[in-house]
Amino acid sequence: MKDVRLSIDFGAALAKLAPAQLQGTWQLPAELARLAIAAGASEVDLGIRKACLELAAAGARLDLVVVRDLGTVLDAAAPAASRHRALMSLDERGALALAALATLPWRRLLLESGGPQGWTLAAAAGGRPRLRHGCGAPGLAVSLTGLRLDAAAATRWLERNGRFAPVPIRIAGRPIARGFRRPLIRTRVHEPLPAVLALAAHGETPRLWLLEHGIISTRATVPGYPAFEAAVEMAGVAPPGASPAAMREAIQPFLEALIAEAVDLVAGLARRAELLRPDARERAARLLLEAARRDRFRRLLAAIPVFPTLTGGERRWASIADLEALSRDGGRRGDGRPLAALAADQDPRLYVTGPRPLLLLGHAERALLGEILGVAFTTPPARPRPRRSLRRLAGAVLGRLAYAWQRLRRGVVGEAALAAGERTFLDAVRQAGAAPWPRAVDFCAGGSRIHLTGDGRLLLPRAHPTVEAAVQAVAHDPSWLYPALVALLGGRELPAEAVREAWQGARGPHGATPAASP
Amino acid sequence: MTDRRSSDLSFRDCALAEATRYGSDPWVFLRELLQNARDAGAGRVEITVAAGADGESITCRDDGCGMSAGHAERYLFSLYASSKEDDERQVGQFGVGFWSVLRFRPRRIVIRSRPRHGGGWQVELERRLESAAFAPCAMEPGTEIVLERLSTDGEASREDLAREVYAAVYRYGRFATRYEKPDWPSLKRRRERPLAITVDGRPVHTEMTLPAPASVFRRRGLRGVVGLGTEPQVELFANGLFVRRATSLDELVDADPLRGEQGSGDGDEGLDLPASVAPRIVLDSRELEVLLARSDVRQTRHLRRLVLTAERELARLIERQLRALRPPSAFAAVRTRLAELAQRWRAAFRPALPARVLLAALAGGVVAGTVVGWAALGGSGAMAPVASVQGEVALERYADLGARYRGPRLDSMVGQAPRLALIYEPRDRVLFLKALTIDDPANWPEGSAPQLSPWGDYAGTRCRDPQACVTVRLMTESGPLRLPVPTGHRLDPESLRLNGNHHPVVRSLQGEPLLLDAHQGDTVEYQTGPAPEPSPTHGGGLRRDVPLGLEEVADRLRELPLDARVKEAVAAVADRVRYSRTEAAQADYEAARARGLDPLVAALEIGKGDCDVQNGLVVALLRTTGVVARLAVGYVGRNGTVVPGLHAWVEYLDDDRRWRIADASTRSPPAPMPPPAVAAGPPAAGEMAPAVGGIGLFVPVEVPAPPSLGAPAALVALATAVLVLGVWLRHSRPWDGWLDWKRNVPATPPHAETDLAALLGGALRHPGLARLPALLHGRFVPLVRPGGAVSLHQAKRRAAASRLFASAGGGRVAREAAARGRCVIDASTPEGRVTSLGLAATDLDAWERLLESSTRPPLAGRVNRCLEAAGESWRVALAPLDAPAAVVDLARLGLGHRQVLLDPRRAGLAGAALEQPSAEDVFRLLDAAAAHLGLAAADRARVLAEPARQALLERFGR
Repeated sequence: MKDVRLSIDFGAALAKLAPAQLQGTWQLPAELARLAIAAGASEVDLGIRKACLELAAAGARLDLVVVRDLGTVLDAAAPAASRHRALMSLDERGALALAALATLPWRRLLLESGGPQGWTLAAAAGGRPRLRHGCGAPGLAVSLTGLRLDAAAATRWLERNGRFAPVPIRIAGRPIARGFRRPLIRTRVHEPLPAVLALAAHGETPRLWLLEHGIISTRATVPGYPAFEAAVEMAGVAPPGASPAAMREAIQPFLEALIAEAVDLVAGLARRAELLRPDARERAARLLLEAARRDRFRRLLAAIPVFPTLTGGERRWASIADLEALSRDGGRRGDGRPLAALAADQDPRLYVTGPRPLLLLGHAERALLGEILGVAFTTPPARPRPRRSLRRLAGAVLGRLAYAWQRLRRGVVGEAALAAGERTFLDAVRQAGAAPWPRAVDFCAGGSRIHLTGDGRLLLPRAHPTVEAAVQAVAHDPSWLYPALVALLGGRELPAEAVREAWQGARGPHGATPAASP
Repeated sequence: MTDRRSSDLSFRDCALAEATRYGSDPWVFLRELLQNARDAGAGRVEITVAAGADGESITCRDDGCGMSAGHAERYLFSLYASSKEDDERQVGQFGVGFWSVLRFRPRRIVIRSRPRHGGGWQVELERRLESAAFAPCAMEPGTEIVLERLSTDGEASREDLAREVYAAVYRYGRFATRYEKPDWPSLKRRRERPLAITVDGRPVHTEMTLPAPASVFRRRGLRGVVGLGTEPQVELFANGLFVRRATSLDELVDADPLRGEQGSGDGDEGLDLPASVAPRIVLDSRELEVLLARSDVRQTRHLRRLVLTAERELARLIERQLRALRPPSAFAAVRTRLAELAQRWRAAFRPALPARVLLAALAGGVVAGTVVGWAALGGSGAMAPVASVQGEVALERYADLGARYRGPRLDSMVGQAPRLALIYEPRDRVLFLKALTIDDPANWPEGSAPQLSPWGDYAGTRCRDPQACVTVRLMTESGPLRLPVPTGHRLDPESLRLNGNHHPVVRSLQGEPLLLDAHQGDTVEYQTGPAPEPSPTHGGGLRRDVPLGLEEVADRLRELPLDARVKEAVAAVADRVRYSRTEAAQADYEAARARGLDPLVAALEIGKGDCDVQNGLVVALLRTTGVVARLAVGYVGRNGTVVPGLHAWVEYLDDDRRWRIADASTRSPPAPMPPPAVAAGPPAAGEMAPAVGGIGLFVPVEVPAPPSLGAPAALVALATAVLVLGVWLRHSRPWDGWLDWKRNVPATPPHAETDLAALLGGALRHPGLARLPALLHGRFVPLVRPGGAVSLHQAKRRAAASRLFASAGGGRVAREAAARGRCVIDASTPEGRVTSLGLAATDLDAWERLLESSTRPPLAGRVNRCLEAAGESWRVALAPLDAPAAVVDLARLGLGHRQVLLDPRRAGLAGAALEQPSAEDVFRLLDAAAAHLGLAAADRARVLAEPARQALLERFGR
């Protein structure tokens, strides 16, 4: 038998190493953009066509060692050992795009970098690359012709994966969209890793976009937390050119801190609940509740008022702690009354609202609150529908006519001619501010019917038993003005709430506000 | 030319650099070794672990095709070189995977290998990895890798090492598969089998399952299982070898960062289930393209298809789980299905108005075509039945075929044959179960049967390899029986059980296993395993006389090697004798037979025949060319049972004395031969269904009457209908899953109810879950009314109208409300509790407690009389409350008036006022109640006016 030396198939290495790490050749423009950003570009312009790829990166300075390595790799006449060493060097530096150039078919390649130590690397298919120093345009320029490239796929890939680039990227002069589109809130953090965090209006699962030099390399999801989006820069954490698996592995130690930052962002959004649109407010409340499911975040979030309530007809904001306190006040199912809640599409005016806050919560918020606090909700009872009878309408019209007739027939008694009790009654009406019901009160002679006009004028026959009793009652106790007016208005209207409050104030609490539902 | 080899670089450094790409797991090299074994066609991989004072070692031995020394030099010992680059069925292709063994930090690597044809060799690599010295080595075909290192931990025991290795191999390769060439030459698809991996003899392979509820699915090129658990997890495998783990399907596919922001939120993301029923998914595909170091897979359409399939299966699983928990009524099922269709329709055609218009036009055209065609055919409904697959097939007990088989002859198609009461495992294998051997079909004495008498001991085999063995179970008729055995297998006599008891088996004249004393209804179970032909002479001898017309073929075949000879013989016969079983063909055949031609020659004469005739000719041809061959008659097994009807095929002996299969009838589809014992009905004109996967599906199909040329539109409509039916059937494949926890997790208590509650809660919390029509429209929310339930959709609608109630106690109020048809959720169930909480259903238990504590003293009586006089529909009662008032809306329940409950203490009403109330007390109470009830001002005024007047007059009137 024989001895053989273990060897390296450089041809195979050259052919496989870069393509084996790329999704496809259409990834090349994005990788070139990554390279330019890593080299310090302040903006990147790309021209992507079927047979031509051009890149111009202002401010980028590619390390000359990298360029020399590329030249060596492309030099088919160079010793295999050198080419392999150069390829491994490119690979170690994460210059995947340049390593890939060695395997792709192209006709001409031109790399230029300006500045005092400028250089130009030019190569043609089949020929030896030439590296010249002291020339070249400012920044970094790459031109590749004769390339077979799926331009549409390459553009799409770059548009998708270059959104979080720290510098503007343009394709054929048109800037690609950057960042998250219309997030509810976004923030940039530097610890534990440089990242942009955002809360989107939709989505259920937190998503991390792992970037290397601003270009997305891979992504990860973190279920079980409030849905947030994070574009995390991994350069410096993962080795250059790290595989997607290595990236995902590298992010693991930082997840907890990133989630904490995201929860802070949720808290920040929730604190602005009053200023948010209803759908955004609901989203913020939901995210807050999702985060509050974890005990370690609950303390931070418990005091943030994010849940709208109606208390005595007034809109207020309640926090988890407030609701917890309310639930302790008999909110748990079986212990007492559940909390009254209405959904956003239910009109609170149609329901009986009690002294306790009426919560305005969506299904998701209720379900999460139920899970977190064990609190039960119930819909408050609907108000009885007001009666609208034709008779009432006709009465209002006829009342005015009857009032006019009575005034003509009986004549209004002047104030000077009124008895003391009657003047006291009139004074009480005026002082109580009972208007518009009645807006004005006149006494007339006789004991026929009491008349009320549609605009609140009350004509009281002085000899009418009810009028006499009312005058006496008010003279005896001014708080009786309320039942007196209720009786005199004849069931057509009620006096002002102030009159009722005076009556109740004189007799102790009676519950002026509508009842809460059990 | 440039030298492709770079000899002055350190091989070790480069290999180490590549090995570090494989991530942080030090055992990742085991996956690469498994992958290499799989790619080498191994059926078995044995990993053994040893540890002692001087070090630890791992040995990986496979029975694959092995390597020649030259192959190893060219590919194994040359980094980045791979022999698998152009073979899409191979997993490895980068030429670096093997060297991940350096992660083990071996001080010594020994590689032994022996190809199937050639001598064995071994190489011992030293630590520097500079050269390899080949030495001869005696071993079985295959490859063995030995890795030795110094002990890393003096305290670590061999068991610890073995445990770690087993865990790693299990993690990476528990679903590993291999593809083996089928036994049947015409079966084009390669068959997938488990790769039998053992670690210290302990098998690693497991079925791709998950704890219930779970659903296994298999499509072309992919398989997987979806289940529901407590933690979301997705595991991705390529060719059964682990690639990566993720927490959601969404994570696997490339996505636009804007996705989910631009859309409505519905349908843009995968199914996001609540944590308590989180999706657990295992996916495997042989179509995936892995990146270097298997760090990820490429974003190909295969990956997207895999993810899409898994999402659908997950949705299906949930739907099935829901249906199993609460079987829907027929109406609900139809409604759910319609909702699904509507949802798919909306999802598919949401953005494209032109597409909608086009489809609508097409649909209109089809409808119009149908109407026109119908009219053209007379509109009488007399259209001929088309492609009506016949219904259920009766089961038939197994009887010996000797008395029933009449020899090779052409029979016309008769009614559908019954299905045999025979099942086998593993179900995924396609088997040719031979029940009768015809050694020389050309010289078959017509009307006679092969002798059915014991002919000595049966030389069976022992089934040791569960992967290769087949277990057969059948129900018998009485009498001696030849037992069906897959071609190439022999029966394991030790395994035979007759009604559960061991029973001997003897040999028939043709060497078949014979069961002598079976009775009607007996159950026989036995195992078979692959084994060579034990008899050196068996095969019935060779023929000298070539069938008429095949002499030239025979001469040509004699020059060919065995496999080519068989292939050519099959092709020659299939070219000359077309498969046909029509009445006309039979008439021709009988006419030829009447002229004195023997059965096979008659078939050659008319150019038509069925499977036993065609394959009888192949047997005759092979036997004249020196191949030991015979005709096998029996059954084709698919999916764990046999296809109705008989089939005949060729068995021939290969160089290893193993019986192999050839079949000339698969060019034209095979058909069942009508067993004579089966009463033949009136023969139906018919052709056979097209072959599927190389095997005829023995399903007769009625042929439509020739369509009128005046009705092309009807044909279009019919074609559309058939297409739709096809699509429907394609999607209606049998389901392989389990919803019952007992199936495979005996220690786990059932959580079905909890899971359903979690799903409902999830649907309330996550709008995305409402995309499951089955969840939204299924009646899963139990009502207090016995047997009653409502759907989440209905519950939401009622909640919006404030007509959703709940009761955990099921008290009188709840029961009576339910009896009046009100929607009262049973909140004592998890589903009811979750739904009533989320939708804020009115708690009837609280109402009941209030009503029970309420009283109606004279004061309340007077107030209520006032209300009655005023024509009001509400009443007042007094009760101790923790609030000034409460409203119990019994009117909404149909149980009477709305009740306003007031706390007399808070109302400042003393005992005397309650018992002997004044008109002022009445007014005060009524005023308070009206205010609490939230009556409109005008209504309050109307209600209060008279009591106010009474109060005035009583106190101050004259």
